[in-house]
Amino acid sequence: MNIRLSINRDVYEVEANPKDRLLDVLRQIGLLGAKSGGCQRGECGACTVIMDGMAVNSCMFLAVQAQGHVIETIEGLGENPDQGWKKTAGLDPLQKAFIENGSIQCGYCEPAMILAAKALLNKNPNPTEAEAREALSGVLCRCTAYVKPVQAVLRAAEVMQTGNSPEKTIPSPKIVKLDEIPETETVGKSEIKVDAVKLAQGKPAFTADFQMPNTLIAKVLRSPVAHARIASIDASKAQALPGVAAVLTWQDLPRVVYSTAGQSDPIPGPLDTFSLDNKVRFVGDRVAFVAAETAEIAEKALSLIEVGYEELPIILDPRESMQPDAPRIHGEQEYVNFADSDPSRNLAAAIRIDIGNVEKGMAEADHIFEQEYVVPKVQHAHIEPHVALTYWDENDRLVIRTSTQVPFHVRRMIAPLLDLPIKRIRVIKPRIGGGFGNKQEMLIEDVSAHLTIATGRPVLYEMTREEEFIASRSRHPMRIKMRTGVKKDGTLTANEMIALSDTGAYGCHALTVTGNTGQKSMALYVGDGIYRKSPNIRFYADIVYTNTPPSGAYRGYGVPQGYWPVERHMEAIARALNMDPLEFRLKNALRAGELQPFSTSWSEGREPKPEIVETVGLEECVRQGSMAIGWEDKYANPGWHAVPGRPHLRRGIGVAMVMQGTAIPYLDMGGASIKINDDGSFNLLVGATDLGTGSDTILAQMAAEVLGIPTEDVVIYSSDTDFTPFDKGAYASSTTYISGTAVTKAAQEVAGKIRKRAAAIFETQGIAVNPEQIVLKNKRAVAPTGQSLSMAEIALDSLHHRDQEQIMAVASHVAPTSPPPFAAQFATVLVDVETGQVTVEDLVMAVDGGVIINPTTASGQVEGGMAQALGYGVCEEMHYNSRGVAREKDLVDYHIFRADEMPRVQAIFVETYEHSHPFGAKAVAEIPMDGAAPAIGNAVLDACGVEIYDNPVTPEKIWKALKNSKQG
Amino acid sequence: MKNDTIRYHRPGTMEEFEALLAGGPEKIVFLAGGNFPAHALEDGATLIDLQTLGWDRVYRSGDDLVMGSLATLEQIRTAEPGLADLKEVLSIEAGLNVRNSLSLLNFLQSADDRSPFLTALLALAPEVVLVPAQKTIPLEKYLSQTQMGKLELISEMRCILPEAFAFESVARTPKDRPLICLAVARDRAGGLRVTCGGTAKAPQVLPETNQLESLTYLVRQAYQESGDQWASAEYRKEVAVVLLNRCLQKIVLSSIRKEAK
Repeated sequence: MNIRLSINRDVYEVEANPKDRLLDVLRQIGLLGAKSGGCQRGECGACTVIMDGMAVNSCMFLAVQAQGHVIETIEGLGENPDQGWKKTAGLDPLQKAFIENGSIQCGYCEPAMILAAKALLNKNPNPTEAEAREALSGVLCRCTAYVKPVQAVLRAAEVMQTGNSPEKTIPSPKIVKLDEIPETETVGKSEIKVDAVKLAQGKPAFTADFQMPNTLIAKVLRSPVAHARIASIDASKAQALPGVAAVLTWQDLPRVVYSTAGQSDPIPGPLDTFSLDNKVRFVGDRVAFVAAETAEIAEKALSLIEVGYEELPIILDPRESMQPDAPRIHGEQEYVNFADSDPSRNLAAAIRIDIGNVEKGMAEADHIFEQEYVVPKVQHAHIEPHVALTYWDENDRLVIRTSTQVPFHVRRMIAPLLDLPIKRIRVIKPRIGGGFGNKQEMLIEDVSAHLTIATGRPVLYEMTREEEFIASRSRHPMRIKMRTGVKKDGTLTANEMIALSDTGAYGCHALTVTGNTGQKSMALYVGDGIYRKSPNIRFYADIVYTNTPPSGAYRGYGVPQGYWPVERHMEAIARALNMDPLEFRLKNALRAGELQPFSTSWSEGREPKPEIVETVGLEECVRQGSMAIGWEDKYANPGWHAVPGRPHLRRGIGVAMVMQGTAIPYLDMGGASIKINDDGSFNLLVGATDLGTGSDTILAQMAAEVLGIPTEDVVIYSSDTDFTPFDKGAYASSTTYISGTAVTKAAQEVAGKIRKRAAAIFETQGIAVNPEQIVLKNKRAVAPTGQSLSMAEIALDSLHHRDQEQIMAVASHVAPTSPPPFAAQFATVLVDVETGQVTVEDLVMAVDGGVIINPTTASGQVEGGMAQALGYGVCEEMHYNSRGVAREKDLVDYHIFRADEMPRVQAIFVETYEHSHPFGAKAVAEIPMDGAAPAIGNAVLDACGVEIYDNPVTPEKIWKALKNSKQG
Repeated sequence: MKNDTIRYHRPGTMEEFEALLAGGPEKIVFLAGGNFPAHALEDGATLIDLQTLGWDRVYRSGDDLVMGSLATLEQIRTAEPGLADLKEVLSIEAGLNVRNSLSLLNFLQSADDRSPFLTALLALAPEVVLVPAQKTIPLEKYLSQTQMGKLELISEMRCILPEAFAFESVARTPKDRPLICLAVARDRAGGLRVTCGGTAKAPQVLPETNQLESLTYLVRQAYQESGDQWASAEYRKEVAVVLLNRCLQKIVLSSIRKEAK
């Protein structure tokens, strides 16, 4: 039927099906700023438009319902003011505010937030913070903790009220310099994100925004049972359905075993996965692929595939996985072991690390503390679902445009599955709408690639939100036993962690995630006195298969699992010894100049090699964090803990100290290339993948710093396996450190060539200059005499005038060390002792991430990470019933924090100078995940005196613990 | 590939609406505002879009609050300033985007036992007007009827504004769906109406009584078999009593304040 829509003051006549959603029609006509979060109940809000002045979800209206209404999309707000000869009105004040204060992270939900804010300001030009939060409450953001978006709304309101743009009033994060840090021009400044302008306009930057004619839509038939052999499968009815282009079952594909884990070669884990198999191992496992003309036809085809399941016994509790009579989950002959994996015992990996002599240390202790802790399975909940588009190009090379953190790993890993050589595959990574580790996985690219091979046509596969929950990856749930020896004076003499980790049905990241659990969290507390030089630490882990959706990489990569038990345990010990929890921890914590105790025993990459930790800002982090949260006034102050007139409420304050790693030494490599253009600007090509973190921006800043140019003169592109140098991808907190060093090296080489060229030009002018003495600054090469040449003059000389050459360089970097960032996380909570309800009121994290390259983007990382960790602490968990069916299948039941319920969140930076990085940087992206949950748990203990050993701390757990404590 | 086997109508008057129904189409689907699950539409359906029938008003009529069935949750939230707790209930129910598009009618079709707004609504003892018969029945009865006539549709809901209203809930976060919630309304005659959400079934309306002991007993009974994957029955039974007492305290305080005025 013909539909007439009024959009952005234009009228669109559209031929549509009455059941087409408004979102789909908007995207059909090229208004791609409204994004899909794959949800079915409108809970994510990424598809927001303004209808008759109100923010609504365009996925929840049929297009026909929108006839007669006035619709505004992000495309109607404002546009880039700089469009050559054409003058435009420029960006909307809201877009400007979001751009300037660093609200734009992955950019997937920001157009929606801008529209929601626009609807608010149209009605209420002078909103309060609470009203701004209310306005944003319908748009879920997983990156920002809403701190900067709320500030942006208030700033835009101010601009619109006063009619002029005030001076920047957005508060920068507090930065405390602990070391002497060299002066820099660009590094260390809050530069605007290089991709912010396009993302604030909702430009078609994401995978699903790229529209190819003749594209088929892929869908996957998923198993309804947790463990079964596929006794029969008949796809004939589905294949016969008009509009179906291909149906693939396990019988149609080459049987190639692989791991989905996006890691460097060789993948450090078992190979136990097939694109399609004759067995299913969890509810949601793949059974068949369909490609059809429309999503509706593809869904219909799925329902026509007849599958006979021969059900097998299932394992849901990892404690049963290694029992002698447990059913075997992986019996396939193609299974390839890695290290200690043993599929006959459902063992995906095992770790046994002994440092020093734990039993001797225990014998030397005055007290031994033992406790078991549990951490849950949780989901990344990035708002952009997994999405991949595949097609043959004109050279019959397979192009995979995909929302991935690891384009180069995907190219290498997918080749054997498709029976194609790597050289015939090109992987393009557009903008990524969040990943948090879930896109460090080759999870969907093979689905669309197989279907493109089968049909010869472009195929788009985009997961639904339900598929994200039942069939993507999650954080490994673990049961962890702690045993710690301690002397009366609080000196740790031995520390032991025994972990049982549940990898689910497949062993992707099984070994390395769990390795990190011990390697990072158990390294923080080495003990004091003689134990500092020879700590006694044990970390044993079994990583077992169960019939649940696979676990995998998730921001923090195993470390948050470790810090829940370690920091809850340290708190319990400090309290038992009647010691101040801050002093007790700092007494035993690792210090600068000491050996990372695990560095001689375990490495995620190659052979372990000793690593001395050179920079530790932990003590200052504790000082800064405790000042910000008011520790002195609150801890041990009975008056603060009580709420006047409300005896059922108790306040509590808690702390957790944490360390992470920065990249994987001797293994992961980053590369970059830089070339000069005629106008003295530069192209920077990196294989690193910015998944919303701002890495493109900080890489450009580092190049700009070396080349003496503004960041805006660096045109950065990431990433395309045909054009950009190899990079391991975005994981392991490595981009600033590894890729940043590669960029710096390339820039230094280019800078050297520019100096030489400048010296040669000076010589033609009769000025003799040693190239080494030429300084690059303010877009010029400046001789010691003061004469200077512009970058454009140098570029034109080199490209056109004489002795022509392309000034360019390629460089790469592998790190010999993994300098840990440190942080102190503080939390205050309000506990209702009658119901167990806990409300987190404040989160403060002080982070030593070395030199901060861009304070705004870095603080965005810390704030957003804390929000994710907050969910880990109080509400996020994935449950399965006795048949392995998930309880959480959407973002309603799996609750992530909304803008109107966030606690106060503050990030502080303590800068140390890490000499192994050209600008002194370490990492900040993962460490915010580590401390919030245990700090909240400790705050609950402080509030009402009960211990919750199972994360998250939910009302019923607290209520039961309180009840038990009264009875006890 | 466009498939026009679905017919779409947007009647502008009740006469047009009734004429459409009289035509006797096979598969009628009423479109009542946003948050309609498009994926659930079947080929051959006749869509009747109700948006121009004037069922989207929220207003006071004497002591009654009248809510058109196409009024959005946000319209309801902003229309009645008297019931502060109801505003919070709706804020918990959904974020603003959903509240801006979800109509009362669609809400009623999707709400479950943990819905704070449904729990609160039931405490207000509302009646719904069904069309085309113009029949009025209590909402409670409407919800309990599993086999509504396929053409019986709510056009509006009415409730007498209570003398006092209170709502209490427990959730994992301030805006998460409650594990348990409880609403109490006191009518102008002093009668108390208590509803219990998070019972693992539909929200339950308790028999009216003003005896605290009886209410406590009834609340416990309502949660007797409420254990599900979100909370145990033991927890809900005990905490429900806490929430009941808090609601009653609010009600008493509200009355004292009114009397003081």
